[in-house]
Amino acid sequence: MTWHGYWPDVVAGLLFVVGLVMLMSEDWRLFLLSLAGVYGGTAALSAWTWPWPLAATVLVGGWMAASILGISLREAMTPVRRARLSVIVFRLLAGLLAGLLATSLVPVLQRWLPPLPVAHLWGGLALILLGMWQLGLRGNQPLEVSGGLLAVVGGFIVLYATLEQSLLLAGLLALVMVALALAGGYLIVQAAATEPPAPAPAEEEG
Amino acid sequence: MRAPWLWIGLPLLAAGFLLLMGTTRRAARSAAAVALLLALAAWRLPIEQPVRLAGSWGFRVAANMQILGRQLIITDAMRGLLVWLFLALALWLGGAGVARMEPTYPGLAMAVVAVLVAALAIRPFLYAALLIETAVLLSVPLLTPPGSVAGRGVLRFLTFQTLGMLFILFTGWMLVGTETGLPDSALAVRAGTLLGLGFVLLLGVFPFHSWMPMLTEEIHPYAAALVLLTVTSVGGVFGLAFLEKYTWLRESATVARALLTAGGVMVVIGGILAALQPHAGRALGYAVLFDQGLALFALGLGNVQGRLLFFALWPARIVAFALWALALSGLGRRRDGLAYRQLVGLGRGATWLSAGAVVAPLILAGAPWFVGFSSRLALWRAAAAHGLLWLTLFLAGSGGLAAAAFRLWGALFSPGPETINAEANDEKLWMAALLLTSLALGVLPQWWWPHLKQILAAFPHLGP
Repeated sequence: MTWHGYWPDVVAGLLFVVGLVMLMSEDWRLFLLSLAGVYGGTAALSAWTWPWPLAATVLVGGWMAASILGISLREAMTPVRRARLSVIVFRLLAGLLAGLLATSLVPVLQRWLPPLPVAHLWGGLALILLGMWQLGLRGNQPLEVSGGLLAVVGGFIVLYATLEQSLLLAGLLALVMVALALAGGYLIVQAAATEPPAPAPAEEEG
Repeated sequence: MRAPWLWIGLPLLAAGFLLLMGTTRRAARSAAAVALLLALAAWRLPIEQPVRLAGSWGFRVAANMQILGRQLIITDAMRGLLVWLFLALALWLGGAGVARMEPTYPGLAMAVVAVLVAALAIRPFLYAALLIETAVLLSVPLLTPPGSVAGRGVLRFLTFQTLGMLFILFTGWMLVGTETGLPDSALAVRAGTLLGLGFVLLLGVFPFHSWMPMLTEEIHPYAAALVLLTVTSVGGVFGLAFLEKYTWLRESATVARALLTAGGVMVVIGGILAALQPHAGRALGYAVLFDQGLALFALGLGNVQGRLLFFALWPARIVAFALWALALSGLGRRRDGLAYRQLVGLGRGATWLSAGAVVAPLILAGAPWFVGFSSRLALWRAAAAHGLLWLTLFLAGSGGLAAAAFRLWGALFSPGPETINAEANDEKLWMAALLLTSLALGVLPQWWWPHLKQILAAFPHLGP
């Protein structure tokens, strides 16, 4: 097999890695960069079955979503947080578990769906599971919920692209992605506007 | 003229203008007028038939419209559904000023309903899941207007609706080609399970209902109740479209049993948990669960009577929830919250609002003479015909909801701090009007029953 034959596997692997980074990151800049990476991978895998212009709607929609969330976070002056090592290790293990679970579910999905490259199945499923982890572990913050839902939608698009090729579907899915980001961005700004101001740092005595 | 332009395009356009209006009262009145006009148009304008204006002048409303290679179709048979949807919207928008909602409320509510109508009109109808999701996303600013805090309820609502949409879209692909024939048993189980899961998430079926009481607790009750009721009611009609299209699904005993069981469980859980809540808003959320349970049970009966009862629940849902949400808006505004401990003693100063807040759950529980009684009586009879257990579940649920009403009454009329704010005239007027309406519709069900039968005309395989 030439390197070209391995290309879907490489993209699916990269998709999983950026999804994992997204799950682990506490820094919103890295989180959004990973989200943009997720949609790069999603568009690349979708392009196997969708015509390029149609797959491009996924890329544009995903990147627009990441931009909207980023602008909202800047508007809300969200501070950059750093996660503790134990939290990162826990999320890494949880993410790897999602990868293992996806591996075990691929044979089942192969029976359910029409013939589909294993890389697509695994990549899409792993992304959905990572998004679900995101929703389960960090489901009380607007950014994490929007990001988690966008990851789930991205994984779904990878699988669904092989089943349906419709302009309206691609358009509506892109609209849903952007609207999800708009809703998330709106909630981020709202939460920041209603938060009580942080207490001023106490002056050191002596 | 094309029907989708009239009942989807026009409300969307109106929503844009309404969002620019500065005051709630003006926006609410204009929006209610537009919704009433659209309901009137749906009642009087036939689709795909010539309408004569004067002499040889006339026009014809076309049923369909192309959009990106797909179609939006509003047939003549769907007019009954449109009349009820826009009448309900007019009533709720009319009350927005009385509930002192944000000026953006009427415009956003109009846009949400227009997108939901588009969901019912789109062909292939599976795309409806995406449009329902769009309506859900549009409802986020409605639920959390500027200056309010978005709680976990909104996030959970978004999560469950998005996941439900994906399940339904995925199932749609599986079901291609199985419209009339029976799919093989493995496919039927897979598709049925995934579809069921999608609808469970979309409609907030037990045990995925947690977002309902969370929303009504955290969000203004008038906004939360509108979103809950529109999304779940249109989601229910979307479910009916599946039963209409797929013969094997319609005739499956397992599907009917699942609907009966889910409905019965939701009725009992919704009713009893409503009684146990320390917060009037949460009780309202559980009442929505109770009402959804009745609707699922009605569908689970698997006959024409059950499907008629599914729609016969609508008048009570529209009027009683409007009454309850409006009353709670007024009461909550006076004490800055809806926990029972905050409402103590408010009943003496706000008699009409208190009456509305107490009578509404009783109407939903099935109090005689009121609008919900006839449909609930029919459902109780149907439940008794299925067995004593079902009837017991129903009575327990209704009893729970009645207990919630009496608990609220107890809180409102207990001795407590005197309320300073007297009721405004518009509040008294709306409470009285809604109470009278629910009484009139309850005493004279023959007024609305034939019109509800017309809704079923949109589903030829499910109708008489």
